[in-house]
Amino acid sequence: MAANSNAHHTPAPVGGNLFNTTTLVCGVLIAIMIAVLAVRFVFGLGAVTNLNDGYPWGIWVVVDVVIGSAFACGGFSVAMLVYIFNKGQYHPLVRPALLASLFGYTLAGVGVIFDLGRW
Amino acid sequence: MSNRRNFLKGVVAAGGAAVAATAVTTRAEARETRQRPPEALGLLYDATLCVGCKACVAACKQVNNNPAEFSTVDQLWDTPLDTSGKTFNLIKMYRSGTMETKDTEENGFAFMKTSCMHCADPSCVSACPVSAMTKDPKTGIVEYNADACIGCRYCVAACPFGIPKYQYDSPTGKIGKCELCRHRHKDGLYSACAEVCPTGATLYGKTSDLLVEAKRRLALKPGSTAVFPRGNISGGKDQSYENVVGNYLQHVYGEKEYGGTQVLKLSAVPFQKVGMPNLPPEAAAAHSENIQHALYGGLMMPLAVLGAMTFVAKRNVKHDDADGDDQKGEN
Ligand code: SF4
Ligand code: SF4
Ligand code: SF4
Repeated sequence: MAANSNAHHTPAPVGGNLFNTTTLVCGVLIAIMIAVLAVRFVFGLGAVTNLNDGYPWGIWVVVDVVIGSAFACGGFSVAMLVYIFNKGQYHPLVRPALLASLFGYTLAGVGVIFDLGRW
Repeated sequence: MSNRRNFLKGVVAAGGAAVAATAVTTRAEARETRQRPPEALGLLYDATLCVGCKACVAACKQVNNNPAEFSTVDQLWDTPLDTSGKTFNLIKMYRSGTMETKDTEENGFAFMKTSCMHCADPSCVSACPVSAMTKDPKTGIVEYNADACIGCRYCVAACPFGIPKYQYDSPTGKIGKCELCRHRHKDGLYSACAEVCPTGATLYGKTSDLLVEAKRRLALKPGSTAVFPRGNISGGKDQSYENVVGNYLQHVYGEKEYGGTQVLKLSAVPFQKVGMPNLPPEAAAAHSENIQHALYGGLMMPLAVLGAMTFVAKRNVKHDDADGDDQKGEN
């Protein structure tokens, strides 16, 4: 095959301060998450999820499976678009999509571990 | 160029052949709803004999080392409102209107036992991803292995009777459910609930024997006096006594439901009114496993998808000097 004209751009640092609004907001959310997980690991799932045997699965499963997999789907869709359907003009989207996929699957995988109830 | 093209054709052809081959084998493997093993053990619960004393609830707690659960302010008695990770057996009450007569649908009341039915083809076993729920091939007892369990609560969601319950108040919660007192069998003991039942409303034994006994009761004349066994119908000392025959519905619950359960039930009030679901003779486990194995058996679906994608990719390959976009809109 001939050389692809849609080659990657050269990677470059994003730049800027590490402590900006986005990272600080995320940091607060992460701190809340750690607090919730601490309670979960002392008092059990019921204390933080309000689950019961009528609803053995709740919002954690939504986050693990539905949101996590939805994020991960982006990588597949874009890769399929570009590499299977050969729509080379979308190639610049591949890297962010794969990064989102990586994040999505990591979220799903790590998230489900905390939702599993028997450690 | 021609090499790659041949290779791709080969991949597609091989994929197609594999798909065709697996389609044949999975169809042959499609399974029927499983039936009870011949030596299956179980219980027969006769709601017309039950007096609601809840001796079985207390005995079940005791032999399973389960703590009391309270639903009253003074917390004097074990008063669970439903089965839970720490209550494997419960007698529930049906109430209608003035509650004048026992075992009557209108203006009456009735009791019903809630505990594992030990299904012939259990959904909990089918759903468990780590085989922590298993069915003993000989006794048919549906057993739980806490060491294998990961606490995913698939079994809780899967059981049509709402039996497996998780301990939500512990970071290492287990699933709690009746295992037919299998831990007592090695000492020659049987189900504690049947052992303590004063009226034989809960009777232990081989399901085949229990089914014969249930059919015998259905053939008796309601209101007449008959002899009823207590304790263990398939062995042990004779504890039978005389009692009045109930006004049974002509239905042994569990004989056919979901391919049959090893715990059977008799009642005078329609089973759905006393909390037993209306289930078809085919188990959901058989349905879902058939669908899943048809899709994934021999990697059939993944191979089909791979084959289709290879085909599409091959068709869409174009040279940089090719003009325009000649795809056929496959997305
Ligand atoms: S009643 Fe529920 S828990 Fe018991 S064997 Fe059947 S599916 Fe499993
Ligand atoms: S909670 Fe345990 S027994 Fe139930 S399905 Fe999950 S791993 Fe199996
Ligand atoms: S068989 Fe044993 S565990 Fe099951 S309900 Fe009866 S007493 Fe409880």
